[in-house]
Amino acid sequence: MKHVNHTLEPEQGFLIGRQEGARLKELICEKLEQQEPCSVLELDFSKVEFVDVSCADELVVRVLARLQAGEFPNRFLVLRGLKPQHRENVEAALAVGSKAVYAQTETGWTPLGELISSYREALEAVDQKQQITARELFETMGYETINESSTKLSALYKLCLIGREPYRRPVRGGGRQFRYLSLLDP
Amino acid sequence: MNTQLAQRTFFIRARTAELNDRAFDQELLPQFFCLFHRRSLSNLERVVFDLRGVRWGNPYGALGVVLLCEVLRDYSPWELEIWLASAQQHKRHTWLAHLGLGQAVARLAKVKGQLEDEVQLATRYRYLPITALPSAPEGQVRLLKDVALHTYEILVNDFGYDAVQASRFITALSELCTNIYDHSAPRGQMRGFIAMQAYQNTVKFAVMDLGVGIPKSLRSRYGLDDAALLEKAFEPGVSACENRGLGLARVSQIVERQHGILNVRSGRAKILLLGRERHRTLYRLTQKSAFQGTQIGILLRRV
Repeated sequence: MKHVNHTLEPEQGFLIGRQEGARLKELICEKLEQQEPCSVLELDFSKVEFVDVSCADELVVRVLARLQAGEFPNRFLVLRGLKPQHRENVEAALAVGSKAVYAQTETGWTPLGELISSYREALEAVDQKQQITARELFETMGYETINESSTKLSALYKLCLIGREPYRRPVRGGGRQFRYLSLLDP
Repeated sequence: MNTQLAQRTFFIRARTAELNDRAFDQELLPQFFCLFHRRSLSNLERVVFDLRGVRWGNPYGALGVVLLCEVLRDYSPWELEIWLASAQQHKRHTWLAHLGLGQAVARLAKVKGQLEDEVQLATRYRYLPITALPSAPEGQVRLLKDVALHTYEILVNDFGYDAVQASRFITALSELCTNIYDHSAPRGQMRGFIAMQAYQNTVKFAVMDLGVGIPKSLRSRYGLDDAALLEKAFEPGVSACENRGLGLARVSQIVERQHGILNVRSGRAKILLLGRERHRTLYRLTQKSAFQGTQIGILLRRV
């Protein structure tokens, strides 16, 4: 995965209001469009002092919605340098939009937002291995069926929390096989 | 002649030297209601707010005067006058000037004895003068940003708040302002004001509007009486709008933690929260003493 940084540098460090968020959202989407597939855009909050819920909704949730809708295939978004004072408002916006995103907080990288615990566990396994197939996840996590493993990986991919690339030839019956990739740098 | 003059003029007087929450609720408002219960209003020509004895106060008291003038301007044909102390009379207090009371009411009333030094301060660091919330979205964002920036600086740099606490408070304050836009009926005719004053160990805010009020906006969802609805507004997530309801809940948490004071008046109810004592008192007001919109006063202390 190729990582590209996009630092938010608002006037006086304050990101307030939907309007400003919408303006920045367009810039972020432009940047995502310019990236080659399998790229992760790191939205850097280190120069932001304060972000309100409306602005976080535009900057993060609505960009995620466009990513999940497939507007920028195989591009991903993570949040870097999230300070404790940003976290509550970003999480409030994610809760409203029912979205989840990887964020670098003071304690390290963690998925923020709505994500059921079994998905979180699967995500953790992907991050530990950096890349994983459905069979490998099935063996690691001790799921009952490979199908369960595939479903979880596929759901995490749709949520834009992991990437994927084709793996081996299609299996009998036409089903494609993928290797799933962590968005985090090793 | 003097009797005739007295009959033609109604005085609303600040009887104490401090124009604060108590002065507004217990002195100015009762006199204001008395005006409308006078036997004869036909020969009344003017209403005078006599504030010459005021030496000190807070944004709640000053904003309250602006609201009373706004309501009188809406519903009465009478001439309005505000009598303020001059700078010579009270050399040491310029807080009214800094809060811009004279300027805020100048479009509504004739201001007499205006403080000579009533100018916007070069730096608004310690004060946010009485500011009408703009109706255009661009203006709203600019104002909210301005308020957030000044509040953050004061809370973090002067009052020792950590960034998370300051950020929480700004979010809540900005939601209180946004509520004014959302709950004003009809939309586009909202009138709301904000003011802030930092002095020694306290920072005081006032956010007021002439909208429908908290109980009325929550009634369709929760269907209780005014006092119960105002109490309910302090619970997280309780709002007339989906996915909101952080404003009063968060403000009250911070006020409790920082031993501040929160005073909320809306409809036929008023809540006074004393943070130091962790004590919340609910007052049920009579129909006679219910005032339009919502009036919120917040006091935070240095950590």
